[in-house]
Amino acid sequence: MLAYAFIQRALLAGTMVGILCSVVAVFVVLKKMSFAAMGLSHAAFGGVALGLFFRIDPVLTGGAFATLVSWVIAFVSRNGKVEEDTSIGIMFSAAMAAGIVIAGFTKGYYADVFSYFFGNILAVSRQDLIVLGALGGSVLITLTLLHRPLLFICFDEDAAEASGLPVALIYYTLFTAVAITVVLTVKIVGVVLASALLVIPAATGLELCTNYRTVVLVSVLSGVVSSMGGLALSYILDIPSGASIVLVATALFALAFSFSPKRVPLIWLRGALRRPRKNAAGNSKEA
Amino acid sequence: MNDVLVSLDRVWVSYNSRIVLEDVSLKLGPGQLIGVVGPNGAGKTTLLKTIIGLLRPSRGAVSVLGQNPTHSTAVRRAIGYLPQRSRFSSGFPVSVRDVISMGLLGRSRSWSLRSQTTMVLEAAEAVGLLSEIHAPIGELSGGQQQRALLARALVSKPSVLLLDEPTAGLDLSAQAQFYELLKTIQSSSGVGILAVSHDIAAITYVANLVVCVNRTAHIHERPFAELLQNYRRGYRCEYEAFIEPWDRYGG
Repeated sequence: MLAYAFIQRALLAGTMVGILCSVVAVFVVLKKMSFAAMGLSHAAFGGVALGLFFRIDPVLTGGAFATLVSWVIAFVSRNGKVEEDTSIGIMFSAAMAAGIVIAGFTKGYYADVFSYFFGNILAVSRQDLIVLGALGGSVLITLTLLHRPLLFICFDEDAAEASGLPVALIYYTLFTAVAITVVLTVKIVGVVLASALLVIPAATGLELCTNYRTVVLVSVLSGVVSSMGGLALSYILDIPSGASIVLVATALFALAFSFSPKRVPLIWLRGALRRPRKNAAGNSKEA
Repeated sequence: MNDVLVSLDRVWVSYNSRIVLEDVSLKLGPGQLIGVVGPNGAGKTTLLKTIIGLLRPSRGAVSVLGQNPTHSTAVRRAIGYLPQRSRFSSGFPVSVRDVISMGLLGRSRSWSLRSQTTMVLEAAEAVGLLSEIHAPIGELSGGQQQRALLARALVSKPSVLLLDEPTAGLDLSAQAQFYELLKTIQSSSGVGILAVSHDIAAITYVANLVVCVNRTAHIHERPFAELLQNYRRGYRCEYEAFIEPWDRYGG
């Protein structure tokens, strides 16, 4: 399996997307932007369709389009007279509809469009990997540099603003990072499922950890395992790779949810392990 | 040292052509604690945001340490701010130490990592949370969480401390502890404090001066008795709920 070049590229792309999405996901979840991430992944389709129509790299047009939409959403949510979820609902459905109309005018669009709807990690090219590495790396560096102000804004935006931090600028930067990540992820898992990778790994980390540093670590671990596990399942069972990646991520979250220290207190687990066992006569004896 | 830390001179503030604050004048000096009381929607939070520089007055002048806060982020850095009770989820993955460190962001360029650590530990000690420094913020009681947020406001050693309903949602015992702590900080650090509160009994216990805000502001030099007399005279700040704690405390 590993001898094939397209499998090697898929594994590399899966690992890179797993790491990128998992880090971005932590801020998406903490800032309660899950719906915005979903809206952006759908809105990216409008840009992808434009790229296919004009025969430009759809990742670039999708990225530009999603970034523009993300700024509009960020502007409306900070200054607008329309509620944030309403503006996201309008923007993403309008962008998606525009994408479908544009795709209707594009020759041979069905195969291409479906590859962006549901993703195809096995079709990742060398050029895709270079774009993924460059843009994804830039997003990770930006978030690493801004992680403390971002945490402050996620935790208490009013206090962050009062302290003199450039909250609006950081807010727009976060939205841009999410938009770029969405577009890079669309190639792997598709428009429909991209937002899942921007939520589930961080939700898994938050179930298991109480400090953001370990949340990021668990989130990254969960994202990479989901990508690798999903790819392996896709190969073995001959099922779509995007869906299998998201299903593995969901299974990991279900496990974390079930065994979260928040729900299964460690003290209870310890107690259960130390509970005296009863012998045949019904007398207790220490385990 | 400045004799006046914060000065508002006949300040008017409007939102969408609706006047929220009208002709408000106020002075806050070092070591002074001013309580701000008034009904919901009276403009108390607007008053604090105007002092910070987040809102621009339509008329009048605001100065903090002699400068206009809307034009100077350096001035904002001299202000410690505790907003109305934060709405962070109980599972937010930060420790008390992380929360207090947030108060140094945007202010700490000249401080070394070691001095930042020392400042965080000192702030935690000042609010009695040194033993909880590594605890997740969501696992603390409401009173402890407010003390952690107070430490965040204090960590950069501000000249002015603005508190927006710091004891809202706390039980009486936690409220009493918080105000005791505030008195200690006021007397030991010389910081000027402006504290918004709904609980007139509690705020008058610690405040040197009470400002009653209901669009405009009335200043009461001898807080409790005079405040009540003024209500009976029919001030625009009339607020039925103020009477209740007076009765409760045997007034």
